[in-house]
Amino acid sequence: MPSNDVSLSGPLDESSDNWDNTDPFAPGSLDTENLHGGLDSYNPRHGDNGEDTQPAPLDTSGQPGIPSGDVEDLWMQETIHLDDLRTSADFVKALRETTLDDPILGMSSDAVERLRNPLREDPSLSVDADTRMALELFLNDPSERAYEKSRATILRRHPDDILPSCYKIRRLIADLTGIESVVHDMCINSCIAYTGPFSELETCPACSESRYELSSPQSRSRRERKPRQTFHTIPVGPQIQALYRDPESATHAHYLREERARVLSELDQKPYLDEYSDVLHGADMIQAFRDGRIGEDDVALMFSIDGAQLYAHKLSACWIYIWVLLNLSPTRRYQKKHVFVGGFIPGPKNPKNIDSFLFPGLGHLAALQRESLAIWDAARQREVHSRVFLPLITADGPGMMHITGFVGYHGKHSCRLYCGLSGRRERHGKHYFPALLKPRDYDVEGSLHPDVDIRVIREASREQYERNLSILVTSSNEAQYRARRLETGISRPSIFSGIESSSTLGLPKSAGSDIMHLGALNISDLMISLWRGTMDCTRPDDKATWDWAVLQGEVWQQHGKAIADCLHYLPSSFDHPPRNIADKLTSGYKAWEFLQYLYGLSPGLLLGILSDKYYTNYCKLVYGMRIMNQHRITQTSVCIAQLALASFAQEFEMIYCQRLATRIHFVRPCLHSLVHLPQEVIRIGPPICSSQWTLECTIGNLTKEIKLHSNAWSNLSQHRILRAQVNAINAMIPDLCVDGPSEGRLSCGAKDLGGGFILLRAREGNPSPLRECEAEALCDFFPAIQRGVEIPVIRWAKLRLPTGQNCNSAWKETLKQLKKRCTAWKVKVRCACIFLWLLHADVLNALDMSRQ
Amino acid sequence: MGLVLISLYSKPDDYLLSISANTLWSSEYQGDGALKFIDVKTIQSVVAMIPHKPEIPGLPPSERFFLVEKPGLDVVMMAGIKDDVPGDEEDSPPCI
Repeated sequence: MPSNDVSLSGPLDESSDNWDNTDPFAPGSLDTENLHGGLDSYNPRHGDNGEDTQPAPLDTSGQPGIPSGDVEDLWMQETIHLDDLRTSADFVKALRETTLDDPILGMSSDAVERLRNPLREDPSLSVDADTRMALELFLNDPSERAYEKSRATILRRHPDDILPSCYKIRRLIADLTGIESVVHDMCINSCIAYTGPFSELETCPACSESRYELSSPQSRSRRERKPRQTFHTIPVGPQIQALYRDPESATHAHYLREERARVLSELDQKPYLDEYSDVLHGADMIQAFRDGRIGEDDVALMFSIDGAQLYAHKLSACWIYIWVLLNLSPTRRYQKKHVFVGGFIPGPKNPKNIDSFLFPGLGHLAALQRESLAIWDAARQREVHSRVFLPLITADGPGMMHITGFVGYHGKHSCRLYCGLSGRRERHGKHYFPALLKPRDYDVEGSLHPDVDIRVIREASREQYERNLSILVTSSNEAQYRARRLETGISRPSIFSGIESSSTLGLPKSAGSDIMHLGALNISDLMISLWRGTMDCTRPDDKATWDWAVLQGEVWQQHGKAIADCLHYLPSSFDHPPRNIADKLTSGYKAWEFLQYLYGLSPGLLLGILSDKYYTNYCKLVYGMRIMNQHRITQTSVCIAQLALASFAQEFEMIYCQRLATRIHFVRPCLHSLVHLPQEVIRIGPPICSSQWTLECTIGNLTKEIKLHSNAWSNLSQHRILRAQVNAINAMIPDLCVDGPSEGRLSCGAKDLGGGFILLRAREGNPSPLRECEAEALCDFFPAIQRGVEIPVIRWAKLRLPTGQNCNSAWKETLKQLKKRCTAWKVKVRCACIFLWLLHADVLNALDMSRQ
Repeated sequence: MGLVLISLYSKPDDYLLSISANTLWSSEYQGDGALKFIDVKTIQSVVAMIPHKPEIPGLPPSERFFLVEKPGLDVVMMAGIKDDVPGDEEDSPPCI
């Protein structure tokens, strides 16, 4: 067994199907003491792969015609025979050759000059009082109409003020921040972008549409001809520079530097960290700290891409990608004001070659990585030259397939972490499913491997990936390519292969796990489809035998209503409470609702509806995912979650699929990804830190900010650029304070108790006495108080917790009707559940006096 | 120091805990019977207590409450959803 696996007892043989006795996660034995046996063999700082206990996909040694050596040689043209592969390889190669001043990247020479020699003066000094007012006005509502209106109003009252026009203020912001977009041509049908190897083309290789307006005469030079469609990219370098120009923002960005030092020194004392609460705590990042790939002055970025549907019921696909700066602490870096928008790929169709759209942004990054990024660190008043490290790329499932070049989720080797698990094919179909157990009476060629032990699921291996990639890329004909694609699980090289290996974790390790889509959408869809009996039924299987399919007819309606009824009991800090799932399932039930439904409410709501076997199995999923969804995960919890999720997944196959070949499609890829999650915590920190939640929020924000709906594409691009500039200027001159009250400002009459606890109004005007049972409780707390003495206290209505949640006191809440209640008056104290809370601060003085 | 008067819920039911892999914490409300003063700063988070009437072998059905914690308490803080508290849901994109 490899050294990095949790020991999981319980035989795989279904003949002993008594899970209650053998399952380490049986609730009776859920004792962390028992799990320490697993801990010994769960060293987070294991070597790369351990031993391979499972056959690796396509063992290539000894195969003729495979170039030996390094993936670095792979991009040589002669070895690549197939056109599509050559195109991908050309992009990789081009990425490896970019420089900042390469005209292909589109940056102006001024911008490049500034990137190489960052400005040093304090940006707030270069802004006079009038301009500052104009900036504040503009940033409060960055639309031309609103700005010009306010400007006119002010000028009527103070005609002598010099308030720049909207155009000028936008120019000023671009100058101050140094952030401008670079524009490239693209196909009118959004098939490809005319970048990199495509930059010389005049018609789209996919749809043959012309690049330029037909009215532009061909005789003119390219500069003078009007492209039919363009798209914008915002280079990330200037955005990073802008952040460091203000001392306060620069200090915030020293988080990585400090955390790096803390983690390294903690690991000098003991073999592993007790707790994971950031990407920087993952073993892969720590390795990069150790071997100097990430030094104390370096910059680390996470890349995240997602497709979005701008308007419901309309063909309006677009893609947005962002950069998350890991140098900021987790509490800051995911906020919309700190997220760097990278690029925007307009629709209305999905791009056919996404590499070509990413090329300007990634080319810029690759050039920065080669040249290093000059930053004026205003906090330390010195210029540093930072290497830019790209540890992680994240996307949802289909998006990931686009950017990693792995085969889709129905491939034989569909694991997006490239663990090498072989899937099993449906008897009559092309799709593979990652079923661990070999079905009975099953004879599908290529899928006949014996049961796979869930304990030996391996980690991603970079070497294996690169070896297999060379095999794929050197296929000499289409048939060979198909066969190799099937066996390697790779369909083409990823453009991210163009990032130098010393500046990234490298595929497949840089592929994040995206717990958002996995946990909130894919798993819920699987479980709900089963419980509702809407899953495809393959003959001769018969839905009548699906004893788990209980959420039908009246039961389903009642269940939906029960969810909606919880609304009155969920505090507002839970955000969108889940709506009636029976009504809304097919019309846009949101990820956040699924999350609360499946992992929050349903252990209560499905009790007595699902029969015991399925209920207990489902609860193991909940147990594991509740841990995986947290931001702080202890070493011990990782092990428990690993047991819970592995046990869930393995048991799932036994109780739902029952080794029937007709049910192999129940084992969707998400079930397999789930089992990897705990290992991923150790490798790259809590899944939340590299999840898609951030990007979904940014997309939500950007679309909200579009005020005009005509020509949404160019409008969205403009907004995106403005957003990047606004964020940068906020970071550079933080006291412009355009995002409402700044952090830490107290509302009127509030009382700060320290440590993030703040009492909020209303507050009782005059002290009033405690009831007798309350006074008793106070005497228990302060034995010095004499019993029977009347103690007046002042009650408060609300308390703000360090979590940002408000809890309301029963003093005010019980006066309201159920439907109007805030319901945030149930709080958790060191694992004891409590309720009804009251009271306040000022009583203490009185108590101290009574003690004397 | 601020003080908080709380009313403790009962211990969670063992049977329900055991069949639910420790995920279903079902308690009874004890009202004035379990009042306690605590230091404000021992409060960790706001949770929901949802009423239900589960069948528990050997016990008559009674009004109980089960505990629901906010899933991934930190997710929202980190992802910046709090940045803009949603008001007009219809406007938000159906992207997730």
